Amino acid sequence: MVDVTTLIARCRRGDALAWEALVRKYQGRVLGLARHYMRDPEEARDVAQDIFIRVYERLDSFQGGERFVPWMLSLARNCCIDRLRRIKVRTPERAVPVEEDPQIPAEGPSVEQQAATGERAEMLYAALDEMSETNREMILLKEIQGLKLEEIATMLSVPVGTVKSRSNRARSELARRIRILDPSYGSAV
Amino acid sequence: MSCERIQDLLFDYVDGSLDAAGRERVTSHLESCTECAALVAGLEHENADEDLTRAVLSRTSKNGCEQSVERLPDWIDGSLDALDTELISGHVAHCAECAALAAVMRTMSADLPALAEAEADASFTGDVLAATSARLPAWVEPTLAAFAEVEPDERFLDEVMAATAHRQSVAARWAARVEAWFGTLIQRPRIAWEGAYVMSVVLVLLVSFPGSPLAAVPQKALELAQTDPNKIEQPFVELEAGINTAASEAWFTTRKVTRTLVVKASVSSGDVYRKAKRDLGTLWDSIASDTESEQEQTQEEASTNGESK
Repeated sequence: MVDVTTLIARCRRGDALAWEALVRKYQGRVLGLARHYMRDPEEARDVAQDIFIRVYERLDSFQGGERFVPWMLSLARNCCIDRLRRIKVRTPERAVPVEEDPQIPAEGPSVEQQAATGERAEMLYAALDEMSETNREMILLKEIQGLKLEEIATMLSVPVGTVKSRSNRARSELARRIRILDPSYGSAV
Repeated sequence: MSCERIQDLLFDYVDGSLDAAGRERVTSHLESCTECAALVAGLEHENADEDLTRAVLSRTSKNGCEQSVERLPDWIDGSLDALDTELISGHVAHCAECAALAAVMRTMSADLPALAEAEADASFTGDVLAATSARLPAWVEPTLAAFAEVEPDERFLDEVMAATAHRQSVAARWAARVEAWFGTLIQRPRIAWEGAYVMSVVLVLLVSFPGSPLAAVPQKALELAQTDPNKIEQPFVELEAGINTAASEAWFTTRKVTRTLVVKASVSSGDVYRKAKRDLGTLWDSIASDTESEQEQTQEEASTNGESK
């Protein structure tokens, strides 16, 4: 697997194949983030395309070395927010159908395990949808996308301490909502 | 770790004599196993009355769950210091609600990263590539242009010129030289002034040359300018016809004269040179004889004046 630094260097020299590899490598994460923000598969698909166009146009200005993913996700977040401001309508419920839920990678899962995993993902989506926007975004950026506190603080232009306290609050809120939706969640080891 | 092995450690756990690693393993197990947790509660009940603890807490510091829930994420991440870790661990061991929340947080921390990616449909990549290729960024263009053209070094140019020079014919080399000379000439800023000067000289020669068919044009133009404007139509027609006739005659005559001159120029250039040289010699001799006669006359006058004196 080619590392992202090499891919970006090749992209900067106009290598179309490197750009294609970069798109294939990160399209899942970009689309996943877009779906969380947009809550509509078609809107998410359109905005994900715009995100990649913006990444492509600004790739030359990227100076972060290995920190490409936070930079890309920051652009993605801005794109999603811009799109949401334009359309100014939100679907009342999460519009991602069950069959289009992201597949959780597992090594040789059985049918029952796949079904259980799908149900858990569905329940997590439901719990996320009930959260406040601020807490939901914290879960999305830190727990789902795996960004560091410092990266989120830069992205949101708030102190690291604020991000940490928001993150803890968001995790507690999500845990409570999950307990309400599924009291047995977390009991099976 | 199985319940049997955990239960072997429970007495030490309740007594507080279990080491830190063992206490961590037991605490982690108790969060997810209600049976062992109930067993621990029973063992602890023998040592301390849980109801009494709750009664005291309710009348003093109230329930500690609020603070516990705030710190649970850090407790799970292991980012608390030793004291806070022990305090939270002690609370969780006696609070079923906080233990359950802690178990949920552990599980969701493992489950949530799987939601990071969404599966793109088959056409998504193609659509992105099509959209981005249609919007080539400005910073890509010079890079591609650099790939399209490479600056050759001097050695390459010398080798190419040496390999191709002997293949040119003499006519081609001359044509190339003339073309290069003309290219240099036409690019000079003064070429416009020089062209205008040459054309003026040619025009003057055509009009003022005695044998030129255009010699009468200035005179006719002057007459036309002095003619009564009411009668200008007929003279103008005559003049126009005359100019046309004269122009055609001038063209044929000029061409004929030019050909004749070109043919005869080469033949007579020697004669002209010799004649000019002879004329120049005659002129020189004449000037010399005039000079001698003037000197002789001066001397005679001087001698005549001397004798008279």
